[in-house]
Amino acid sequence: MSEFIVIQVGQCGNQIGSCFLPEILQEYDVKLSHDPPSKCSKRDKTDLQQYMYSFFNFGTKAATFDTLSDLLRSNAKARFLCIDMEDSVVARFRAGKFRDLYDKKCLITNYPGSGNNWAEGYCSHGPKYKQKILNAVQYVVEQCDNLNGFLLLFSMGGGTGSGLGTFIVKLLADHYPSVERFIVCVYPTGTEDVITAPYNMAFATQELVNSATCVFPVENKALLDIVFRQTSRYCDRVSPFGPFEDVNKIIVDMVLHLTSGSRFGGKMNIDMNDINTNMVPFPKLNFLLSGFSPFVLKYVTSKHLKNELSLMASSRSCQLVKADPLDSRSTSMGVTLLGRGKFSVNDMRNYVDKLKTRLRFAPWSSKAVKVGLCDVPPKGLDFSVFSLSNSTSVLNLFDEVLSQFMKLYKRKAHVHHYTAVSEFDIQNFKQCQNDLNDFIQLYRDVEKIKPFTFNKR
Amino acid sequence: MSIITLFYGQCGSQISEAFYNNLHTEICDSKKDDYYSQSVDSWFHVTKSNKLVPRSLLIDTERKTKPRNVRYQLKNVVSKSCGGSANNWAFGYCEQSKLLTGEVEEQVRKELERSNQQVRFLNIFSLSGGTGAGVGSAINEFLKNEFPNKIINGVVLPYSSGELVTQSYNTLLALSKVYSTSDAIILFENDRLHHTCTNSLNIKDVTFDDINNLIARQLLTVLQPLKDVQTGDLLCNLCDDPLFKLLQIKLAPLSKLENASNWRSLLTSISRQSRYDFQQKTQANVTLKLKGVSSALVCRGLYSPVETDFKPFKDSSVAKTVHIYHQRRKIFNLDNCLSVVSNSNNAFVSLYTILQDAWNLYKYGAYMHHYKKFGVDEAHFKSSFEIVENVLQNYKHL
Repeated sequence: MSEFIVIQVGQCGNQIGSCFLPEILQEYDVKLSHDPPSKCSKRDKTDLQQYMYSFFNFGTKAATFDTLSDLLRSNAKARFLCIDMEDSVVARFRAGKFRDLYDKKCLITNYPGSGNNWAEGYCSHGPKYKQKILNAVQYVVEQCDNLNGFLLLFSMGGGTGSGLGTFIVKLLADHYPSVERFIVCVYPTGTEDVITAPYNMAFATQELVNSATCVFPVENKALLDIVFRQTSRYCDRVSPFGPFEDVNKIIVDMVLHLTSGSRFGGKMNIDMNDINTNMVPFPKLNFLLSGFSPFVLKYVTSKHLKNELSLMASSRSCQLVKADPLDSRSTSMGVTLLGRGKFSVNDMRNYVDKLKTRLRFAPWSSKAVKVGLCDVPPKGLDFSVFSLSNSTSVLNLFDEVLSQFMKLYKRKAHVHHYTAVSEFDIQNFKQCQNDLNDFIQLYRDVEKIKPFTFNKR
Repeated sequence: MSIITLFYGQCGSQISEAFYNNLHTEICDSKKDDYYSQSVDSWFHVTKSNKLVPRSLLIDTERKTKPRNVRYQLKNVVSKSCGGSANNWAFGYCEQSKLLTGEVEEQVRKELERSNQQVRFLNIFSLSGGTGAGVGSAINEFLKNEFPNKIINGVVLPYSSGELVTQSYNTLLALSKVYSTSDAIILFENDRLHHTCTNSLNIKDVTFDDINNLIARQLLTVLQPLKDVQTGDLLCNLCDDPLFKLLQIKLAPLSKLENASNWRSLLTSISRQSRYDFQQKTQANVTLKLKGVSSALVCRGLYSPVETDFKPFKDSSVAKTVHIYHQRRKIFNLDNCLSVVSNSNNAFVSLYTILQDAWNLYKYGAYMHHYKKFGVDEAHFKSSFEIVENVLQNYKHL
């Protein structure tokens, strides 16, 4: 069974994380106080909860857990690392309902934050906390039997998340080169509340291209659209939570879908490291678009709906980034479809055939489709489809990152905040601009590849 | 004669489940006659408490995929839960196999000591994945080097429309290794099996269970004891010529509904199955007249076949040699059951398609960095291309 270490960095990362733990527990059918009693039989439950090792360490593993207190009795610890340079969010973990699920050694905080400055996080906090972070990581790694990967959650806009977050990615790449690093990062496009966000996004993106295994970007703009669309359609289902809770839930659901193939059994298993092999045709092209359907907590039972899900999952409206993998102008380099619930091989093959007609493939990738089946559907649903695509339509995102960066940099606005950090070199700005341009060019080149005329023999 | 079966990876473990389920129904109610004892001898060893334990190894890199409700307890599960082989042949072949070979050797030696007869190895794996293909070919080489026993490989070709992206690379690399180590290779094609499931068995929603079940049955009809030939020799005999080692099995009847009154009607049913070959050839734009090296007919049923039954087959058959075997004992409770094993250029098309796919990826250099990471470079790929192409050329110019 694959095990993951979740590392959440910065305010955004930790807020997603705070939503993450209850969702995981619900998926494993552990009752939190307000849940209705489950219909799950004892046997099914044992089957389901044997997979809990993915996110938890146990002192003594009981066969089944019904409630949170059962879990605590067996000395369970979530394999979560919470790192923030301020104390407000993590302090809530220390006091909250799940406080005993967090290992105190894995909470690293500081005061008073990184001042929305990537350089502060990367160049100053990074080296300062390096040893402390490494110790915490090692402490968790040592408790794992078969570590499958690190999952990092942070935002690209702020200082701590983008700066320290990308520093940690690099640190892990150096110290644990054989363990894969999967990054779920939030681009604050459309809702920028931080004036230096364009710089932070650009620097962080530049770092991730080089040191992450796979990056699953998420755009606030896209998330808010999804929330709006869902809540306005199902107006009787307006979420009782604030918008951030809803938005974070979507991100959490995405991570759960993403890891589900690795955590649960299925006739066609997708392990997390499969994703890298299947989806990244050339080094550095490792930003993957993710989407899933259905979003709403509405039961899907009819056959008709089940068939609709597949194309939905790859459609623009279900992407967590403002990009359309089915766009006929962009080139697709690979698609993964993961069906959760009772899908047959036939179903999946039909979906693949349908999807293929909608995509414009690169000359080599006409068969670049990975299909997976996972037995366990998400909590409260019978079926769901998760899709990953490596498509040049992700350029929308990078173009935006670069143009926002240039808007500020042309006037050299706010540059002095960065140069004030002693380890930061002014050359980094120029370098970052070049790197991003190169990176965008890589994708453009893919779009331009023409089919070779010669064939073997 | 006994057979040590090695199942690799997720595909292998799923087939093992179907295989032993079928074998169980086959022998559980059987009279304790010669057939029974031969059958038990070839697949099991009997413990002191009269329990049957399969002479079998299950090798996987991910514990989660282990089958759960098998009829017989597989004692030898060699598995390191290290998160799979990333769908990467190179990872399985170069890295994961190192972790597993030691334990596999130990278990194989133990199994060899337990059987006092001649032993064959039977490897079952899929060519598309990382664990099956990668670890499978590494262990194949290991077995070839360490033991004099004959090796039979049952390999599963992936759906040509794509199960995973690197399947053509993995198939290419694995096949180039396995071709030299094995004495016979049985090809199972997911596409063909799927086609059989929908068209002949009328299954609307084909699942992997159906496909695996079909594979298991095809294997059993060929490998269960026969009168005039030792188990497994049948297959090796068909591959006398080291240049031609690819075998395909066709089976009739597929369901109880099919008319199975006499051998001739079963033969018609089998020839009906070759319609798929025709479709495949048109799709791949290959014009190839059917030619064969050798084939064998295995008839299981009360009435022994007479010469005239198979006259049409022998006349139309392009194979140089045709063996006919007969076993009076029924199999799967069918009155008559006929399977045709053929070594012919029918195997060409599906392999050719995969080779084209691999070449198509290779000329753009796509996904190469995943393989280079483990030291499988262009030179390695080139030699693999050469080996598999040679095999195909031989079949083409038959």
